[in-house]
Amino acid sequence: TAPPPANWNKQVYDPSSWAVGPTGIGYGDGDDLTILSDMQNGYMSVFLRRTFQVPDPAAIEGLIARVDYDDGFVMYLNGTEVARRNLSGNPPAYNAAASAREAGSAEDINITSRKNLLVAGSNLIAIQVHNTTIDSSDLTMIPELLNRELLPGPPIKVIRGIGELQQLLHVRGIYSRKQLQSVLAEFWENHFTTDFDKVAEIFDGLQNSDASDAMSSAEAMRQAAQVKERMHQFFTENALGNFGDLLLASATDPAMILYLDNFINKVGNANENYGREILELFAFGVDNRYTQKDIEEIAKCFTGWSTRKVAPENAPSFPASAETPPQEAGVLFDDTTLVGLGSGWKYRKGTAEPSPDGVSGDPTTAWTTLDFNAAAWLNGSTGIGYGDGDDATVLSDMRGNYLTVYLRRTFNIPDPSALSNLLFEVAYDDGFVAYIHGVEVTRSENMAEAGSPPSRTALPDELHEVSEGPQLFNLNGFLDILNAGANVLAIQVHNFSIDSSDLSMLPRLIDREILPGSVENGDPTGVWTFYFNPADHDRSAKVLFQGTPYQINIPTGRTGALGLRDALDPIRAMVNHPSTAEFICIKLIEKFVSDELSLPTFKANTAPAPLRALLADAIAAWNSTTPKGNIRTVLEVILDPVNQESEFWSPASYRAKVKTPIELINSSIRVLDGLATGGNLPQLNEAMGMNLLTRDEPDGFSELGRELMSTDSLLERIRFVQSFAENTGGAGAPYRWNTLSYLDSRGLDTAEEIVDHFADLMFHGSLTPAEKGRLLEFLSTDNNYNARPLTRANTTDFQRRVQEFVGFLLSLPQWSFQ
Amino acid sequence: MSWNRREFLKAGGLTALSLGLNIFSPQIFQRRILAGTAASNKRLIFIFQRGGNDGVNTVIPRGDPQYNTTTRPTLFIDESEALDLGNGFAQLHPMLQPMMEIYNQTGLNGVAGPGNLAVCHRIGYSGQSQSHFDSQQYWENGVPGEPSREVGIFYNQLVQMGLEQNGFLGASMSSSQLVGLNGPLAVPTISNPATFSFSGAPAKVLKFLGQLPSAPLGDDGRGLQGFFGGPRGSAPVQNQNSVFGTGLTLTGAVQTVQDALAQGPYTPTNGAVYPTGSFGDKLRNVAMLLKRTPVQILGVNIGGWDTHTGQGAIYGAHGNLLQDVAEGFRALYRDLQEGDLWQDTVIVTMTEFGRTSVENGSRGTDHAYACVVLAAGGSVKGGVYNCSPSTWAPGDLFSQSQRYVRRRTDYRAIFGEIFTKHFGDTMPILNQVIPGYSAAATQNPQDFTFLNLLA
Repeated sequence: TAPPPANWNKQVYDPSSWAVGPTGIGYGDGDDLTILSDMQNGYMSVFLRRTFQVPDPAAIEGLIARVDYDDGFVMYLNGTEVARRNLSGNPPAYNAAASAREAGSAEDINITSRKNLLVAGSNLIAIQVHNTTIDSSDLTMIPELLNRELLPGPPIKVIRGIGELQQLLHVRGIYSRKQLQSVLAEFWENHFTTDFDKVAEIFDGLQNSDASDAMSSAEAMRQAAQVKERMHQFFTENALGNFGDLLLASATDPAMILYLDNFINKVGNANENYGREILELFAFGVDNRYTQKDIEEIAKCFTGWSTRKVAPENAPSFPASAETPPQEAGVLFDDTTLVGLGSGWKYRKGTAEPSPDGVSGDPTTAWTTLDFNAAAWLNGSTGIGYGDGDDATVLSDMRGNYLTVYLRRTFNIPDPSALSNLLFEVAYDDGFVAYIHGVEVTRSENMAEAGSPPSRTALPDELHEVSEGPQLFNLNGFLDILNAGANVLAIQVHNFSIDSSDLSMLPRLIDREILPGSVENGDPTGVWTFYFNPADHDRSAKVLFQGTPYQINIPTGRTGALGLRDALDPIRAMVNHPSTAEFICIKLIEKFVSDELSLPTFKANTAPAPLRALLADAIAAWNSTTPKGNIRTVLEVILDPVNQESEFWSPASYRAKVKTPIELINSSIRVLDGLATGGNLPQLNEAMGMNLLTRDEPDGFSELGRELMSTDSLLERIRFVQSFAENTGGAGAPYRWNTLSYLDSRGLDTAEEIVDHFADLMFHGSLTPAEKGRLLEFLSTDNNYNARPLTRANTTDFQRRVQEFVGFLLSLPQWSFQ
Repeated sequence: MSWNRREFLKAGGLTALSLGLNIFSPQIFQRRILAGTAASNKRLIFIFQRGGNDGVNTVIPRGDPQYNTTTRPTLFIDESEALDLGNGFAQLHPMLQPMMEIYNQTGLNGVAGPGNLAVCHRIGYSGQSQSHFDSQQYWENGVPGEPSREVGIFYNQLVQMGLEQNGFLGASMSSSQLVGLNGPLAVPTISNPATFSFSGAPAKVLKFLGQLPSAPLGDDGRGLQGFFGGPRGSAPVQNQNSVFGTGLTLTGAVQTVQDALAQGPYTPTNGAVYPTGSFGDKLRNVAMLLKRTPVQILGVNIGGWDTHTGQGAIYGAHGNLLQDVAEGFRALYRDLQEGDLWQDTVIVTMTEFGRTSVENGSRGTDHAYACVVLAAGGSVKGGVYNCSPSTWAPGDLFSQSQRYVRRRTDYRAIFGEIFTKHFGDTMPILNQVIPGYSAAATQNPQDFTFLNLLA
């Protein structure tokens, strides 16, 4: 209202006559904690001061003024100007007019060059804030001063384990300045859920083309986490994008292809797992205008879909990753057959040991050597065995009579040193041990404890079937026992039981040369990507949604890359199907507005009328764009951020939804300006019922918080919020809050001030006077509810009592509503 | 530190609350006065096999020639390896051997006492859903076709047995609530009794818990119970029940469980050995709670039955799960041989659907229709139901849509029989417990004929 006093922006000035209040300061727009209700048409500017402590100015690396303002300001540090926006004059007169800016997003102003103004101990920041006109509708100043530490080197981008990604969901949820994006990324992750554990398990079981283990278990978990992280990044970047892109990216996500079995969905052996869920869970919603026939047909469309590694420079980004994926295997090799299926074998039925020890009668390996005379053995071809119809030589008398059969075959290798990779490829039922020249080279896992050499009556400890596919064993460790010239491969084959219905042995010996340019499963730099294998694709004609306006006819004979269209076309068409619009819009309304609308209540017309109207508007928005299903457009209708008139803003939707565990955890840390590093927050979230990223079931967690509420979960929640509020983890805990500085910076001293502050902050004035009275009673009494006034006389005691009180607040039923 | 009832009493102050079972109904605020007033001592344990159990390999219809290595190349189990059930038709999966102790086949032959294991095939419902989520919902809420109905049949039964007076009549041995026990009054979920307690010194916990208001929704309570028992705001009533009701149940349930644990370490009796792993741990806790608390209906999950790939015949994923179930049944059978406990208990399995009769291309099976229910208990008449020469014609393996086993009995008839014979429900009561029971039975009388598996 008048020119400021001299030295007002220096420490020497005594501001005791000034008013005290927290920032933001100003009026209008609802973004201020200290409201200057007399400013409009009263005065043009407001002058602010705040002291702060810097123990060691040399420790400050980068000094950042983060200012959200309306309209102009000049900021002084210890009396010297350090930042200015929208305002002229030196110094600006108290009634100077600023040019216009609206608050809403803070601006970071780097003032590191002025950090020499800082002194050890007490420092002063002072700001004069000016309006554009005396009758302006608003003014705001929300200043922060930050020390920015620069990390050595670039930020770590590679997720090392699933725990870090789970932590990231919490940390982004707590700290992201783009809260809607963060919430939606978690929403899409949960909608298009995949189970990390299954992906890691599959990776762990992979071989390279030379039959070596592709990777360790630890590496399998790391790579599975990285696959999940890439998809999470996509969900983050496309949180407000087109649903068609989200659906297609999810369908071609390597984690999804493994999780819901598309990688084993092949022509003649269709697997319906993904075909069912894309309709039921990802696009249409359960039983929403599709049939079992549609599931079977769409499963055929997805045959040939798989995943492989590519070199990072060849990893396409979306949508090329989905539309023009690689169609050749990652590894190219030339196989030379040393021993193939077919004739040339000698075999002996296991009615006696083939070469028993002369004294003890125990089994020996003499029969596996080149010198052994097998002239009396029978001649036969492989496969050999009985049952299942997969044998060229049928042992029709084996069942019920003998358990074992012994095989030998000689083969010629001119030059063993010229071999690239000596591989033994074998399909078998049930167990075997293989030898070259008397040396055991490999055996089936189920014979691990059967002895060496196993006797003719030894039993495998598990069944194994030919239909499980051939296994590859690398024999490179045995190259030095091979002769230049004649060699012998010998195999003893064991049945699981004397009356088993089948036995089989189909062995091959291969020399495999791996060609340049191959990317193996175990390649540490390779990137997992969508891969379409036309050879596995079912090229028959297919009809989807037959007899509806959305019928899709897929012609027969789409060869090569064209076969990919069989699934891409339906996916792209799904955003045009009313079922998808209904299902996704309903889920978004469930997420953000109300639990009172669901696909069944929508179909039954029993949802509340305002929600049905909101859904109709959301579906209209869905259909209003090209392509249909733009999430930003739909959410603008649901959240209505400008007019603030949608059902989202209605009293019925206010504090009506129950918080899910992650919402409870993150909101509790946010509300106390807590410090969280991620730490064990994922484990706590799991204990409360929400194991993010590792859920087995493909339906994701319910958007209805009440379905995740239970006594077990509530008890975990209460124990967590108490532990957090009371800082029981100590200074190193992964989650804590700085109680005293929180209270000091807000000038909170008395029980009444503290109760009022938190009641407003957490419950927005929704508590009754009686309820606030009970809060005050809690904070002003001892453990027996006898009066014990809260005082700062003993800081430790004061802090403990406030912390117990805040733990109590966060345990209240009212805090469980969002 | 956790607190228990003794510390509670020592600390004084809330003596009235600690007498007996302190869970109350927010509607009527009655308190039950301790055990002894129970209308019945009957107990029920339901085990939900999530994912859809392959009934065809669980109870093998050996007499159907369609069960062979052509329809099930890797899943076929040879006759010599399966367990004979003595009716010349059905066999059990070899891994179910531990259950044979209950089945007691000699009993069927008239030599020893009657067996207590009922093996029921071809259980399903008209309009079978092949969605895991919907079909699980129907099995638990009792109303096929109403996936959004959130109230469970076991919950409804508990209400009939006095849930409003005693909140610890039922419990789920899980972190989240099972739909079968879900309803407006929160039933406790207890994943691990040992950690089911509040943190902090007793005096602090007592202050934190405070006391209930003098009347429901009143304003004169204190601490946590004051708020959870106080005014509920304006959220939809289901959400109010979820939050406020759960909190009210929690404080009482913690006390009941701590009282039970205070009786000392739990040692299974009669040579019972629970299978290792979380399923066995849960069943062990079930037995502990059955012996030490007034609980009457308990629910347990066992997951992993969605065997689309690599299911395994005798050994493997499916066999391991069956072994867990069988060892669990046997452990309960032995452990509950105390007083009338076994006589008063029924254990029953549920699963949302069976699996395709033909093996798929991934050495697994896909979602199908009717499935197998196993039931045991002192009043259960051991035997094979719906899997005998008179109930199963050759080829019935593919009697539904050329893919599945056709049902013979509606799952609601199984539970209808349990609720009426075991718990004594009248037909009007049963129609409240399983909504629309009579109407559904009138439409499909064949499906609703009781199997008479209970004496």
